Amino acid sequence: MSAPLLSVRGLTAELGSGAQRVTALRAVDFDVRRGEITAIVGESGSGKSTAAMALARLNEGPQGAFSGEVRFDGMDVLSLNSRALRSLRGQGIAMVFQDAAAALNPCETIGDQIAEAMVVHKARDWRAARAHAIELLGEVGMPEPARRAGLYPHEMSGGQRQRAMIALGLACDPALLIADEPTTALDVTVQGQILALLKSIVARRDMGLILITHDLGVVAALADQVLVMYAGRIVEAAPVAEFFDAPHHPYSGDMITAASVALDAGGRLATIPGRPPHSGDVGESCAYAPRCARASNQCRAALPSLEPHGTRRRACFHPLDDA
Amino acid sequence: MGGEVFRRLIFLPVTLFFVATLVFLALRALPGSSIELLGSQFTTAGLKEQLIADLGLDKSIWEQYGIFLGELVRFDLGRSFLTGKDVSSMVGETLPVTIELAVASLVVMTIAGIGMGLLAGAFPGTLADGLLRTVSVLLFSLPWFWFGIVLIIVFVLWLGWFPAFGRLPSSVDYEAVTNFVLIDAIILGRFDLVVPWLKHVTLPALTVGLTTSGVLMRLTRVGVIETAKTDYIRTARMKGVPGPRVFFRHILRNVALGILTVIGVQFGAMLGGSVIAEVVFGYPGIGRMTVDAVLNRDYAVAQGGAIVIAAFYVLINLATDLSYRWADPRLRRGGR
Repeated sequence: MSAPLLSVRGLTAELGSGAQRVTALRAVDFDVRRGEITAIVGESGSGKSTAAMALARLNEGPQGAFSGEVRFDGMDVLSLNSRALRSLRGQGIAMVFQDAAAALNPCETIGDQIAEAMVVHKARDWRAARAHAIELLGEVGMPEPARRAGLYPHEMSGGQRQRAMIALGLACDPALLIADEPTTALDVTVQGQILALLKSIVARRDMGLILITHDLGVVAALADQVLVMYAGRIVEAAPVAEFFDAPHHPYSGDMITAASVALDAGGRLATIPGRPPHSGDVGESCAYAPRCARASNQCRAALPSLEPHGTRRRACFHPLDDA
Repeated sequence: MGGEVFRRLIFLPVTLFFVATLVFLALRALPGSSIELLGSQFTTAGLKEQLIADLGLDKSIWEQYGIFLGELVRFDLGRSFLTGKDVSSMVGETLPVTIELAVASLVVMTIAGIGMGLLAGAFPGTLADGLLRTVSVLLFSLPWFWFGIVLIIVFVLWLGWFPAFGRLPSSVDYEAVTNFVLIDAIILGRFDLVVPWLKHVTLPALTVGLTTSGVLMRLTRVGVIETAKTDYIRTARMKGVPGPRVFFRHILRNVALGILTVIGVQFGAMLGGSVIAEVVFGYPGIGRMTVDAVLNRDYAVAQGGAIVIAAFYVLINLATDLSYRWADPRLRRGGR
């Protein structure tokens, strides 16, 4: 097998300053290959967006500190200087953000926003960049791309804005696209279209795609591998079919049960009791133990490490496949 | 948008009617009259009564009010009780002077306020930010007249860099055409007027401009800090846009929309508010004309001055709203 496009090893992130400083990511390990869709799932605050933004050091801020290793296309991302990092953003790794209405500049036309990405990387001059922006809008299925390029974000529908956001991500032909909950702000009917578009783009351009979502249905339909995050760590990583077939981590199992709208014995909707912890307040014990039906004293005393097990990895003392 | 302009313009006469009524009644409520101020100068018996009748002051207050409104709708502001000069021509001479001062003050306010705000907003929480915030609080807490007097003491009395009074030195021979010095300088080719005028306008403009820049600095700073946190600025950084370009192209452009309104409102306030600077610096503008007229109970001049200032205020606010619509694409073309 060829070398992965992206290889993350032991990525740990300390973010924020003063009393708000937290260890937002702990020892995150994963690989992404070209043409492959990796889904990162987890509840809000589990660190999935943090992990994605950390790949381009977008959330580093003045006080952030990353350790571990992020290797992208042979580059050591964590040691890049600011110039090289800027060059990586947009050209190597691009990002499609969650709420396109907020993530697009309200004061510039869509065409100019897409074109600017090419201009700042000196890939094209403004004229050529604007022309290419129209081609990209066509590629992402925007109707009447030439006319729409001259519109402002508020003049478009939600689905069109998200398509424009994807076109913006593709502007400099990146090798890796990160889509952070690209469909949560959209109508259900439009969600499917956007997801199908992302899948076809990945196949056609032979890119890597990291899809951040909390929608397990999306994961099942689209992804090749799944990373389950909880409190800033990966707790299970598996090929998608095996994951849904038989989750190993109790958290994965509880999530799938909750998502399948199953009723529990009392006839109520199944939920996971308790609330997810903040990534920061996790000590040296399993973060899921307080909510886990299988938790033992061992889980409360020590942190299970992420161990390989067949084709998958899991961080649990009492996985679901141990009867 | 045309309809909106029309609706707003309809309200202009309504606003002016209320202003006119208020000024008319307020002036009459003040004790004393211009006739009494002339008191000792009536040597011939009957002259005083004659003058009162000529000025229409023997009529009832409601009759006077009716005459005043009747003249007003014909754009006749009347004549000065004291000098007999036509009020419209007095306004024509003094209004350009005030507009000149207001524009100069606006330039000072905009450069100082936005400059300080951008610097503080670009480096929030630093020593520079703290210093600039302190300066801004000082600036908007200082009374204009006090600040003006301090400037006179320092720059006129101690350093002798600037003249203290007036608009142009009396030694300069100036036949006004438009009454705007800079425009006349161009029309008449009198570029020798520019430097003396700048010297005279500097201190009053600094007084008004700096004391109003504190608020603008605060708004700019907050605007920059808030805009920097938005999702679309994160998008710009993720595109690989260099830091300075993010700041000037993306952040500044969005902050400018909010600032525009403040500048417009402040400009309106400067027209009325430069009264104090005009009095402190002996600057012959419409504010000073109006204040002098109130002190002399020169009803027609005071009324005319107040109405013209109010009309300008309304028009400038209208222009501000329109420019805001023009600058913000979300308002320029409605969303669907």
